[in-house]
Amino acid sequence: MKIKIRKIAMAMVMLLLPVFGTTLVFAAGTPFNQTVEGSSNYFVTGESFATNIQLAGYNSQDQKFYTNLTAETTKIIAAGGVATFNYDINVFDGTSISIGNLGSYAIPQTIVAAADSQTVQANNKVVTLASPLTAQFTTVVTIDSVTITP
Amino acid sequence: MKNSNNKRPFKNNLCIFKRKPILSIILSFIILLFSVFFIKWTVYRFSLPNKIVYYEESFSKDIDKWNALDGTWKAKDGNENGIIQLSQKQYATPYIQRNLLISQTPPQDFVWKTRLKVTSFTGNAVTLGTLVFPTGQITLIMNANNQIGVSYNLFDKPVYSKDPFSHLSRNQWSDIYVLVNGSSKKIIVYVGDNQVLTNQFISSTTPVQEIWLGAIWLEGGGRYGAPLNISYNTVNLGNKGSLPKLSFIKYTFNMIRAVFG
Repeated sequence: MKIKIRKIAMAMVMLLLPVFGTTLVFAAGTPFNQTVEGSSNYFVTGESFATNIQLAGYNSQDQKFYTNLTAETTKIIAAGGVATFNYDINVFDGTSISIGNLGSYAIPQTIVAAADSQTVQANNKVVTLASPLTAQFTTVVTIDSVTITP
Repeated sequence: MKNSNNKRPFKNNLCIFKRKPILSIILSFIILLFSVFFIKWTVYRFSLPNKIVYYEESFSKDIDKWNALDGTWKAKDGNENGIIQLSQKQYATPYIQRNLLISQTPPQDFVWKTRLKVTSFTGNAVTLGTLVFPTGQITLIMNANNQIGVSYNLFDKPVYSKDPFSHLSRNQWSDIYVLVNGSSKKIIVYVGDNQVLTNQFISSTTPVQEIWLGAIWLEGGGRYGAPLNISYNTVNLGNKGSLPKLSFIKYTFNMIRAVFG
């Protein structure tokens, strides 16, 4: 009987492992350092990043492209601190030509995390495309900067 | 016994009532129901108006009048003449679309018929066609279980029919009718001659401004995908007379189903 319970417990742990596995990936995904091209110097520190980017919806009628994303920072937030993320979304077609954007490095969009939180989720952010969405496309969410107050 | 029968020949005919009363009650009940259904069916058939078509497209020549993304015109597909095949190539949402002139617009109560063949699509569901009104739209959808449904907005939870006849056979030409009843604020969907879904639709149903066939949405509330191979043969807007005329057997069957769920 004892063995049986232990076996069940083992099975439970085995079942839970992938669940925790995925949660960990979303919660503390490894920041990635990619090249950012620009006209002046941009430093990619990899301290803050966007994750869990998904296509929430697309409407052919008005060519509106809805994105869900999670913005995350690894910067230390002091007690009561609030992180503000400046970001922009770009949608490219299969040949890497931009077909729409929401915000830019110069004029970014803003989302504010709850106090003491390193992550914030943004839903249904709308990019209005200039031409119909292509079968192959890329959505790039760039966290341009993060400010923490106080 | 023989003598008494000869004396009263009329009673002899109704002898079954005496000998098998339960059977005779059931039998008379069935005959009564049958006559009621027959009368109702006759009334139904005579009450159907003559067919009026306000707008019709049968793709017999080409799709020049339509805006198309990944839509290919074919002269023949089996027994069907002139079809449009949608398949995802260059674009994420293959569709054909056209604007309607006011003169092509039906009144607020009308029937929208589409003849189509669904072979394959990506995702959990796909949008099959849409009518756009000034303040709303009706979008016909189908899920991966081949159930037919409707939705009015990209992020709405779609409504699917639970009727066993709402399952559309894949790779087979089928007629889908949507009875748009603007005056009573509801729509009724038919697959062939089976009524499969009734749903409320509160927006104004006139004028029809645009017709879309194919992927109007991706993802959203129904996790919509795109057509990999969906063909259309006809789309038309007509009056109630365009609905399929039910045979007596079909009509009776529907009545019985309506009573017993």
